[in-house]
Amino acid sequence: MIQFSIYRFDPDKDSKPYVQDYELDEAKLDGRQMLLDAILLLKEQDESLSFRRSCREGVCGSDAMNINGRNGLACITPLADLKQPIKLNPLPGMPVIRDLIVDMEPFYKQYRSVKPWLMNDEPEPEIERLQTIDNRKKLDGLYECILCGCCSTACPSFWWNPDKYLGPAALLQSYRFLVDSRDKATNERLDELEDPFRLFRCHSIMNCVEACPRDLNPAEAIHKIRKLLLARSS
Amino acid sequence: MALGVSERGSSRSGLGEWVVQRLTAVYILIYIIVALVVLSFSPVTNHAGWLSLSSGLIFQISTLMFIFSILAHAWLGLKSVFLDYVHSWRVRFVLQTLLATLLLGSAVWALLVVGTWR
Repeated sequence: MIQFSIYRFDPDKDSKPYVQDYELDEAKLDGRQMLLDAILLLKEQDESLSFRRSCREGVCGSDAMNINGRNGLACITPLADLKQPIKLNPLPGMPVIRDLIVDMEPFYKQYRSVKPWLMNDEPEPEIERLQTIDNRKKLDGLYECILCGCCSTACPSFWWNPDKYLGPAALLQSYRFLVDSRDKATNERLDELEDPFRLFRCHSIMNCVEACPRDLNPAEAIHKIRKLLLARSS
Repeated sequence: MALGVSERGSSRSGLGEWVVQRLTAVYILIYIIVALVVLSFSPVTNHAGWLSLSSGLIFQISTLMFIFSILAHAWLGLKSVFLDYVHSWRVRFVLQTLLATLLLGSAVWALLVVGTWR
């Protein structure tokens, strides 16, 4: 039997959250190895258990949750690596809608605020804006972000100031457009970041790097933004 | 809005503070290393030794810079802690005023002490 301790909260019924224990017969997994497979079977036992999931292969980012104290995606977390009872909690610091489902809006608002799209007023070429191979390489390690929220919700600076600090995910995206050779709004983007809160609440705690299920490095991207600001001012 | 996104603030001090904090940290580290090396090669064992060391102009200036670096570093570091955790600007204002008084007082004190070195 696999043991679970899962955070439960239904605002319609419960006055406060509680932890519910579950057991799952390993035979039912039938060879499936990931945590999400087990949670889906738990939902067959107790259909009131709520969580998000979609692609079940680490691409959509819906099933981000706090697994034994660390943020990660249930669908790509092998059950064999987890100590029992497996403790599942919603992403820390976010408003809980129900059980493991959190309101991602504070996270998305910060993401939107970095204007995550190409800004370029130059006349459009007939087919597409080309990049050199070297310029394209600068986007590696940045464009892969799936916006699951594991990094930002693992960041103490984001916990204390989710309304003012952009958080690692939004800053990684910000750098992705700062460094894009086709984007012409670098100066405006940097202006928006030069503020005690939006960028400089990062204290290089590095939880973001540890949490990222895609092995990206938001802390490094943030450091590169600081270097861009420094280069611009000197 | 409880969890809306704040507008960019009017202060543009983020980068400058970040740079100063790092520069002061580097200076503090260099001073400590140099002081340890110098003292281990020619240890000060008595009052006369201390007098001859503290009468040097280079020692006086570098030590004052060391003290001021620590004070500046403490100001920026603690201000950063206040920005992180203290969300009421009124409380933050009081805390920063107390801190500034303490640090400026320390700076004056350091000047007075070093001023007596001949």
